[in-house]
Amino acid sequence: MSNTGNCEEYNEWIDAYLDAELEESSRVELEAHLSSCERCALRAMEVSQLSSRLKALPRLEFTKELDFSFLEQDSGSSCLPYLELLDAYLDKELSSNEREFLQKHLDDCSNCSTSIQESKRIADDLKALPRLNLSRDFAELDYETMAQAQRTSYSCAEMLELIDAYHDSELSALQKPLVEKHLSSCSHCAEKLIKVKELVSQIQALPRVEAERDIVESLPLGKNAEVHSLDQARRRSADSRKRFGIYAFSATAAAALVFAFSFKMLPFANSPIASNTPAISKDYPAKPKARETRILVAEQGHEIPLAEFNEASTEHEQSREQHSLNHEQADKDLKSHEILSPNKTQIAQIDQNKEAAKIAELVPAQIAKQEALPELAAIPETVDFAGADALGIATDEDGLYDIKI
Amino acid sequence: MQVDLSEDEVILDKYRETKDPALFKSLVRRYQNRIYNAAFRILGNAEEAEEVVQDTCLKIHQGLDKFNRNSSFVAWVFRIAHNSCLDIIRLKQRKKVVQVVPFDPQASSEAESGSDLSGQIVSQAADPGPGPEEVLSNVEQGAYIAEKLNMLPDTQRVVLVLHDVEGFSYQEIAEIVGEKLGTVRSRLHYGRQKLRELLEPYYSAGSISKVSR
Repeated sequence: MSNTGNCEEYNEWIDAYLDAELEESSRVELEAHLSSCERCALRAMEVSQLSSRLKALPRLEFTKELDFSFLEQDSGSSCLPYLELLDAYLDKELSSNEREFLQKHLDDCSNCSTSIQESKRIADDLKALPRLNLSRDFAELDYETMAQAQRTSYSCAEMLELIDAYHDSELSALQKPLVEKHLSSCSHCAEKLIKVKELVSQIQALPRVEAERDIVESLPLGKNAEVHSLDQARRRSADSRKRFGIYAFSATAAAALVFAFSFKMLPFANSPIASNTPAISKDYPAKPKARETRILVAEQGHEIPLAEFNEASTEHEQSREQHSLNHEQADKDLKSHEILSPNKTQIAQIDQNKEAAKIAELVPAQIAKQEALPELAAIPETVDFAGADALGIATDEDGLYDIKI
Repeated sequence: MQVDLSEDEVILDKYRETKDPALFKSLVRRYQNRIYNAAFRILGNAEEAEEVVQDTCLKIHQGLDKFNRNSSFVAWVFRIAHNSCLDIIRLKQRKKVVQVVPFDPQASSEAESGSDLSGQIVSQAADPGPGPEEVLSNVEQGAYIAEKLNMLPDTQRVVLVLHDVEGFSYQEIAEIVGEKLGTVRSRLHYGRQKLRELLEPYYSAGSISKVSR
């Protein structure tokens, strides 16, 4: 049966054999096979017959006259290399070489010249299209806001410029949520916000200094008027404080100095300082008025916790007592008056706690707990304001209330 | 049509220095009408053209720092506008696909109006356009040419508008559309050729004297 397998192969050779295209060795092999295999011999005969039949098909005569006019009319083939140059030529966008190359052709070819004319017409028509006017002035649009509205996030670099404004609540309604979004996901920037808060609270916690109350109260004349004017001065200084912050401190201190020194020069016989008379007694009538003044300040919206107030009041009494005793040395003590430093620290701490509470509201809680509080607790060490000593000014309770304010 | 380039640069430098909004406004005013007209001719729609103006101005505002002087300022502005136009064209093509998919032979009028947006082939087949007589009597010349302009392939129309309507040079157009100079030249040639074929009935109807200048 291996023969059948071979028959397949020999079948493929048959056509080439009949066409005399089979190489010698194959031809001998195939002929040997055909003489022994009837099937293949029969097939070879069939192929041979088909081939001769195809050859015998009648042949037709081609009689039609071909039209070669297109060769004369359409110079398309010869114009081909120039076609793409035509419009550039019209638009004067050809290099000098190209222009020369095309110019020669244009001299002979009317088709291409016409084509340029037609292109020119198109270009002119397009140029002549009516121009429209805008319905509104797009220069007046607020692109800043539009850009903000498109924003979905800020980068850390952009946050640098925004953090302080965010802390001061000066951001637009569009910016604020984006900044908050960034802060909630970026501990780096949240840390920066804490640093800003610390700095601001440190600045706010700087001690305020005012004139020595005792000196004023010891005025024998126009006590009511003095207290009144002092009250006014305090209000005024409070106002200016809002505006000028730390500068108000120097101004107040300077005013106090001038006041103190000018008072010292007054030639009043009754003046305890001038006359070196003993210290004023504790139940001096000016005292309640001073307290009234403090209450007034409290009512003006400066939150002084009642307990704090009482505590401070008792300390006020004590310090006044002590102060009165040492009154004769008051002038000398002015420069090194440190009585109230513990109190100062205490109130500064209260401020810190408040600040910490605010921070905890604003920044991710864990950061506030982990980082804000320890650092803030360290602040009282730095609260001491060198300016007070440098100016030779001491503070008392009234000054401390100002710190609280 | 050409704008003094150095003037642009002067305003630009001043604006970068002072951030004075009035300077930015003056830059916008120098170009808003050109952008609008180019976009209108490219898109064939006034509303979309205004969209392009606004989008372009916004992108200029945001990206002014990114402008380097490799190209002229005006080419930079129009590149932004061109990209904005392409965005709108792509968006429309996507919409068009959505419109064509539920095609119903009985709703032929709908299909036709939908294809008017950007499907040149369909509208061409469905509406052979008004005859020459009609053109002369009824349709305004500009509107007719604009209509045929809209039938060109987008790439060819963009180049034609930038050159013939806005007066840009081939080099500037190459910068604007981000193609080689040869490509621009070729597109301009085939665009005009195509437009000429489209306008053939109009021109051959004896309107040549009226049209040609």
